[in-house]
Amino acid sequence: MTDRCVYRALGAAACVLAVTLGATAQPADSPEATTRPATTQPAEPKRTPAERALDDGWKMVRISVWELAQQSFNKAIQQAQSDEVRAQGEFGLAYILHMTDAGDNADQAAAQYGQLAEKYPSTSPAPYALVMQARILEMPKIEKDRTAGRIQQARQVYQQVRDNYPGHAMADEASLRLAMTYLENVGSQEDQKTGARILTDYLADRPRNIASAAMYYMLGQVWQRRGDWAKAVQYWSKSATDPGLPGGTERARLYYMIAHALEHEIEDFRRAAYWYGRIVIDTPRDAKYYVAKQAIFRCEEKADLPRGSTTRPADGDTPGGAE
Amino acid sequence: MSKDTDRLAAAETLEEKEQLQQEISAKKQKGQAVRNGVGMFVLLGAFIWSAGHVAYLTWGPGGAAETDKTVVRFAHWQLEGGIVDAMNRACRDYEELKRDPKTGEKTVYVKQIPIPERGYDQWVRTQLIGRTAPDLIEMPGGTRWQNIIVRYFVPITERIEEPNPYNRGTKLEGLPWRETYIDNMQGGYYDSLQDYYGMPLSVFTVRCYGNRDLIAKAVAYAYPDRGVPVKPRTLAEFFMVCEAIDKYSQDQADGTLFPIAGADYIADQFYNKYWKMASWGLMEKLDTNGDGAIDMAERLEGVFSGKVTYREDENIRVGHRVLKDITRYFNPGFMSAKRDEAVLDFVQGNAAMIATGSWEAGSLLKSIGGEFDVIIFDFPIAGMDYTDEHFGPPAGSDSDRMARMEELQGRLETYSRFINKRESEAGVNAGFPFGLVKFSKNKDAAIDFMHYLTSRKVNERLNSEFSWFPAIRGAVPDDILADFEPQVEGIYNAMGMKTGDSANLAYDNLYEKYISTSEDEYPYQKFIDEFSRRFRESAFKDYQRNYENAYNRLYQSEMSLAQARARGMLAGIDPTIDPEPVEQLKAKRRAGTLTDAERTRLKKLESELSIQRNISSLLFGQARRTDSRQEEHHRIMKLKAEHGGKESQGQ
Repeated sequence: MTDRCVYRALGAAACVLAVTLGATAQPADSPEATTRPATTQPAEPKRTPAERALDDGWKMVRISVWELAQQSFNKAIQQAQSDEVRAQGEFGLAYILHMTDAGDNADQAAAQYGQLAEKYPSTSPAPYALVMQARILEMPKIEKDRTAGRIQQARQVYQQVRDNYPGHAMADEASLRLAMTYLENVGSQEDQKTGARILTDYLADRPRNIASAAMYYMLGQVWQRRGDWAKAVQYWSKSATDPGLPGGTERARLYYMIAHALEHEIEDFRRAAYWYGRIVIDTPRDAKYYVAKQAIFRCEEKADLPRGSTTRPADGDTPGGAE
Repeated sequence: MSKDTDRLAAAETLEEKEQLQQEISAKKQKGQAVRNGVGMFVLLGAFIWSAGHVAYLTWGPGGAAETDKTVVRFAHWQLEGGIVDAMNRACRDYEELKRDPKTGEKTVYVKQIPIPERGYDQWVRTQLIGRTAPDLIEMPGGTRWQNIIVRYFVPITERIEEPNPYNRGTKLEGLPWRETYIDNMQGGYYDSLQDYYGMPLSVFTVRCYGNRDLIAKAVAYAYPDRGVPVKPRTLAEFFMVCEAIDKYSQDQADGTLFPIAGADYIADQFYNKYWKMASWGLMEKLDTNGDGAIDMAERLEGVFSGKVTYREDENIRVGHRVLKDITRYFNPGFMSAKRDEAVLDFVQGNAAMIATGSWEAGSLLKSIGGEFDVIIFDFPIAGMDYTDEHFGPPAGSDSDRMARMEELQGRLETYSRFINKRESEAGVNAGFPFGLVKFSKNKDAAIDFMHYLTSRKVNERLNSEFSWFPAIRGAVPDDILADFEPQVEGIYNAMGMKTGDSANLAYDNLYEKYISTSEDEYPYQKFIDEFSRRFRESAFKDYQRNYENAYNRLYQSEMSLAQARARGMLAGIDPTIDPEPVEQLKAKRRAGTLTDAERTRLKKLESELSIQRNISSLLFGQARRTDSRQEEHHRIMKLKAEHGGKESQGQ
């Protein structure tokens, strides 16, 4: 009974993987491989031995049995008849090194990710491998090892992802990461400008992307540091209405920042009350709940508005409303 | 000297001595043989017992040898009164429910593995590394296990969007599992990993427990006809109850009774509540970036610029003074007493009140066993009743007590301005969470068992047996536990006094001294000046360590993000997925009108959306924390350069 259940579960997992991997299997030099989302391809039910070995490898990765996973990925690479499968196998091998995270494994993983992307640039793992490589370069285990040289190398890889995989989720992340390498130099006006420009340019083309909540938030931070609260609120509001914004504490914190700035810096009490209200409605389990409730009354009083009249959003507070 | 040695000394000739020595040696050998025999017997016994135990676990019901049966194993550290028994009952009920209706045989066995808290972490690590861990493991909250969770546990984010099948026929039917929780399952959400990993069972809050019989007797004795309630709502009433117990104890019980059962742990419970209430006002003074929190840079800027001075700040003074007033009613020497001793004092009726969490309710009530009535109440806040006529010393008080109460009345005026809002419990999340182990062979069965434990009826019954507050909406707690319900109205923590390793150590030592000695011996001014000096010395070093730790946390979250990227690569995530059709399908699922094809489609879409959201959330969290860390660093370095590490004048 137990075994049957396990086999059924494994079978189901293999089917799901078959669908996704089948969808991603495209001719190596197909230009569509880098631009079109993989899931839009039709599912392919039959799995080759190499693909089955890949499935086994990922099954072993899921339960952290690294040796068997390594064997399966090696088998997949040996039996592979397409670059896609070979790249998937090599991604798996690099990923194992990355996850085991001992000694210089991470740097070895970075090298392997880089080689994979170089050998098989048109396969589905390539952009993921490049971002993984750049992140390892940019963020070594010990901060003291975070040299300017590593950061520069990471920037080049991020730029490579942006240039070669436009429209891909990893190009979204690479753009955020590239900007962050400048924005984290809070004291440098020049770096702040460069980082902000990277984000603004990117968002002009892709206003909604996998990293857009973070991008808008960061732009808000740049303007706040410059003392332009109106612009800061404008970008924070965009982040607050982005589907990628996490819930819970992060959401409540951002709503509070917007409301607080509107109340104390801009003195737009009606909009401040609205954003305090979002805390009450969207994050009732957050510690700021009661404080936000009190603030609504305070703002309504300051704006001389009847109680409960500020629940509707103003222009700029709705998704896509702010410029 | 032993008998043999005496005889040896008494022997006159060499022959006699040799003979005696031979006798002694033979006797020793015989004794050794007996001891060896006993040792062997014990060893053999232990071996037989162990072999029997292993055989039972292997071939007994639900043992490993029953290969056609599913065995779900779960481990936890909750060994207090009745938890293990109640869990065992739930396991047996579940096994019965899962019996094959045709053959009548059990299809699932559930094995509970209770592990003492002291060795829990070590045991779990060993089991996880050795791949012998049970399917479900109780996890602590916070970031303590972040590294373990990333490596060995499975995120359950997708599963919690599906309804709990055991809620069929209740108001929770069709709701996503997450939404059936009082806290929307936030207790199972790990912020730094931006994913759900835990499935909690109960909710925990901290309250005051009182011995109704003793308080009623003491109040009637000390304040006849004053209408002092046995369940104090305000600080004035609370202090009057304490005075009543003290007076009653002096006059009627030879001073053997205490108003509050004390221990360092109990003092911490009061500290956690009253410090937050008193220090809330600092938020307005120090939160310059308006994010609703005081970070280290804001705090240091406040201190170095003189905007807040430890010596003169009223919030800080009140936060400490009120605790001194409260702990005055603890038993003497409470700081060296342990939690268990305080609990025993309360259970035995030697102390009228105790402050502790709802997790203690079960074992407390069981130990009291109906000897006296227990009342539970929230921590009293300052009201205006200290100005009422009924506030004052107990009847027949001596001049010392009169003077003390008069002083207290003066301070209550100050307290009424600072301690007038309780801490909000909106952020209190469900606890006792179980995580699903990555290499579990029975993931579906384990989740099904957790569905069962967290269904409305079972969760209600289980928590009633635990004497804990249920985690599921609509599950009714026992009457006495109703007071543990989280109260959302209130303020939250603005700023702690502890900011880093050195400051924490200094504060703990100085605060302990301050709280456990009289104001004359160690006045507040001396305490706070000394702390201020130590804080000033260590602030930048402490900050540097915090800064480094923040990098380590970012590094850990990067591992989580790498896993999310790999999942994204395998699923071929489409950043253009429209959440709208997903919401429509979810609505159909709630209404029970979903077709099989739609169900499959919804599952696939939900899975992709979940991976996508997870990546977006992790990216946001990382960017936000990186930015906060760097901005804080920039400001603190600037401050250090300006002030050279010296606090402003007047500290």
